[in-house]
Amino acid sequence: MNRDRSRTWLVLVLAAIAVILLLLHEGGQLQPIENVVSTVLGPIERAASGVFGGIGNLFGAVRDLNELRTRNAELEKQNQDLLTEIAGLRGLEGENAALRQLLNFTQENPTYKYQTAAVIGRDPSPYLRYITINAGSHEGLKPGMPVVTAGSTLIGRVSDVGLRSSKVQLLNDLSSAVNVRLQTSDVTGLATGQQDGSLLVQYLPLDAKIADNDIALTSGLGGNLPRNLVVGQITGVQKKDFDVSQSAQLRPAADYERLEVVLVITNFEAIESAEGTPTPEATPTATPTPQP
Amino acid sequence: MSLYFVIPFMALLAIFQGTAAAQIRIAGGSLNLLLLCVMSWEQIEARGEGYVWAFIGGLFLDLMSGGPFGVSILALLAATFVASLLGGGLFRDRLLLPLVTAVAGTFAYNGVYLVLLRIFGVPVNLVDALVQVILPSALINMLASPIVARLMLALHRRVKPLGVTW
Repeated sequence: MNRDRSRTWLVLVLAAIAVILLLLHEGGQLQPIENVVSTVLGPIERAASGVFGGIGNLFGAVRDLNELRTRNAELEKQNQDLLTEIAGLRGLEGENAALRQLLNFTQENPTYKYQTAAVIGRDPSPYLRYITINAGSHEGLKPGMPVVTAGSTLIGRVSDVGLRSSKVQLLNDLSSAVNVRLQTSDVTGLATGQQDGSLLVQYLPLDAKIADNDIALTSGLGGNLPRNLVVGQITGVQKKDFDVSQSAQLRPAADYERLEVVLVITNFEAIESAEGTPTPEATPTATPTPQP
Repeated sequence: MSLYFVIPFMALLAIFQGTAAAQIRIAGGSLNLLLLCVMSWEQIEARGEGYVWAFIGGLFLDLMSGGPFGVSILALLAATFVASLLGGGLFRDRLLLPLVTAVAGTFAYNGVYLVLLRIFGVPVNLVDALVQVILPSALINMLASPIVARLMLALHRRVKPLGVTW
């Protein structure tokens, strides 16, 4: 009986300490301790990631075989379609170059500065989609900075920053929401993470014609992300008669499970919005008229 | 068992959760080796040490996670409590005990975890989580539990724990 009572007290004390730690973390008081721990754990995590990654790859390879076969067939067909499209696009290339000069295009596409970082860990929770990278405040990182892979593919945003490591919230995290614009249909929506790790573009206008394989790019609405970063590709549209908007499944442009090296855009100035996260609107993009 | 062993052991298990464990998957569920080790130790040792392991293991998981801090600690404590109840005589069968503990502990851990995530505003769909994560995870943990239980028993016999040292 005494043993049971002391165990009950132990559980209650430990649970109370957990709650206190939670409150301290939310208030930021634990940051110095977390910095020390993450500085110590970071190299160990990196080393273990390399070792355990090999074991994980073995299981992953077996699981991914069927998926790879299907994906391979899809990509071969897509390749054929793209080759045809390229032939037509070459003709437009010259005209595009002239229009860019006229519009002073470089001002709208600034040169970004990047901080390279290696992925040293993933979120151990099956419900959260974060990665840990080996760059932190020491390298100039701040919360909210966009994170991309080579080829300007957006994969997420920096969420927590330690001294030598940071956590990045991936786009397919449940709490992630990014304003996107579909390249072909030119409508805007909100790309959100789903439980199964996929992306869903919501709040698309009901009357918009959404095509499969349409590319979703960041729209820049809200000012918290650069424009025209690649997010993903439409794979299926969901539309019900009684809905006020339609949704579409989005295949991420990057494989979030196999990220090894990422780039953090360090010189993008986010615009603080007074309303918080803006509600996306179907804003038609104005066609630029060349000045005589 | 000495904290000089427990702390690095829990850190290693937490790192394993963030690296290889995510690849050992059925559907959306994955192996939770840390959870199994903690629950097994509480049943073997039965002196409350499992709760200390749960606290330390949860601390490392929360440090590595982008979610609300403290969630893993509380979820692991809840699972350990379930394990201590089950080990307290409900199931005396050494073959059945790890299997039942793994399933019950997985549900307890994920249940508390999800409730806390919802409290902190993460829009988790509980039904989807049950079907896509909890049930597959319970299955994987159940399959691994006899092996983990044997290993923890071997560890216990080897180290002859002297109790928690402060």
